[in-house]
Amino acid sequence: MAANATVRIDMELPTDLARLRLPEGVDRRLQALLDKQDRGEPLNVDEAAEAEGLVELSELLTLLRLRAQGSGSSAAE
Amino acid sequence: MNRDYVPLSLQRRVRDRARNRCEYCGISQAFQEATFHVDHVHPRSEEGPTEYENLALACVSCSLRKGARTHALDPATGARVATYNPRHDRWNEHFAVGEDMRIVGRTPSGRATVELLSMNRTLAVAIRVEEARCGRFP
Repeated sequence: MAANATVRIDMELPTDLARLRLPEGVDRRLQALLDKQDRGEPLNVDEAAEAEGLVELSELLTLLRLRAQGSGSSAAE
Repeated sequence: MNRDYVPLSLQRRVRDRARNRCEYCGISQAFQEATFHVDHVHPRSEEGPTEYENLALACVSCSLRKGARTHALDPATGARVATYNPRHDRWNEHFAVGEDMRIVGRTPSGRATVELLSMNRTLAVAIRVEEARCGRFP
């Protein structure tokens, strides 16, 4: 196989996807970073990258949850 | 969580006033994974006071991107303008929501804020679409 070959993996989403939640400790870490910034202490490069990643993770989990709920209600109709 | 500088009672009042919605992009806290943040509108770094009239509820994305910024470039003109201030400005005067759930700036301040806060990132728009489907947005 060539080094740059693309491998496609089809995955079925679990039916209990709506149960995926942002861990409390992760939420608290994100709050701590936002608190620091809000106190007027700029985030360093690593902290800014971490905060950006945590925001994206939380939004991704939110979207998965909303879509799981949406597909659940569609299936029930 | 060290939030002593914004007392919990004050945070609760700010959340209630915002009806648990981000005061910038308008998304609801309900069904969001991360806890929305109580932010200083006029930043602490510029002596912004920790009082009811200088605080706003922001989703984690808007909070992170706003930071201590109060001005940004209007993408239409390149002029540096004041960003949207939820304590002084009316949301509907500065923003509109398109049918595709993208937020459109109606004023220089609105356009600059949409750009600064990256309000139309793919994930943010996709969440708004789902929220709209459930009748929770706009």
